[in-house]
Amino acid sequence: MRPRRIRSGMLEVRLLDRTADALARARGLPLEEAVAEAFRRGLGVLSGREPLPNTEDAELDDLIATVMETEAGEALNAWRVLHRLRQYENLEPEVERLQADNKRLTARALPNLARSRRSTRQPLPDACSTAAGTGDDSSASELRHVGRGRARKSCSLSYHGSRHRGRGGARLRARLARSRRRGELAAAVRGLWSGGPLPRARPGTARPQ
Amino acid sequence: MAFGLAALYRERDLEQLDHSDPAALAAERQRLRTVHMQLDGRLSPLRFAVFELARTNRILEIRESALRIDNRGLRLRLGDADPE
Repeated sequence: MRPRRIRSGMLEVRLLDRTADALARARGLPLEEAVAEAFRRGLGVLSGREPLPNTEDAELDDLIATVMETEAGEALNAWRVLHRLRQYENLEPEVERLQADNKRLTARALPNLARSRRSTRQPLPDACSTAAGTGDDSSASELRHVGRGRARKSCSLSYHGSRHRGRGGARLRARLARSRRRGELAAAVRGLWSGGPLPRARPGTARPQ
Repeated sequence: MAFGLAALYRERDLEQLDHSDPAALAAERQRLRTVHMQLDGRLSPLRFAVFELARTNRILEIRESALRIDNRGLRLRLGDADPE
């Protein structure tokens, strides 16, 4: 059901055969003139400039208006279906082509993808364990004698932070601070016992007397 | 066009109608009711088809965009220079 292209003056329309035949029959005019007439009449009706077909019978008038509206709706929807079918006919092969392309590209890229995934799963090479284990690393000479455990503690490689954290960071500092406070307390107690001076309070920690 | 054509149809029918004859008017009313029922019966599936096709086309458009983007990414990954 392909639309027929009809030109009438400045107006160019595509009509279904069914519509074109109906149009020619309705006016008894050549198709081009009937198209122009229907277009003009439709504009007049829709804009309200031209009255709808009128009789003395109100019910008949209502029926005529309803049928007109439904008939126009049917024609418009038939046209919409054809338009969307044409869109679908253009879209479907394009999507199929892209899908085949995608399949081909994925097959080509699959080894690369698998390699990159494997590389993210594997841990980074451990310079410290290499140094402690084999001793052929550049940093091995200074680490070999302390053994594996010490080597890990003294490791300064930034990307080992997550593996070797725990002794050299905030926890160690906090422990040192606690021990210093305990030492100060012990010294103060010793001073009390020995009769010596109390250690000076740190700024901000002195209690008001 | 559609409205104009429908109006022309109805005008043609009315030209052939004897407005002074109540029986003819009643018959015309009955005929129009039947026509309306038939048209309504054809209109509903058409509306449904329009809705279905619009949705299908929308999904196809989304898939088309997604595949284009995916293919472009894969081409870049492979170092393929040929553009889409």
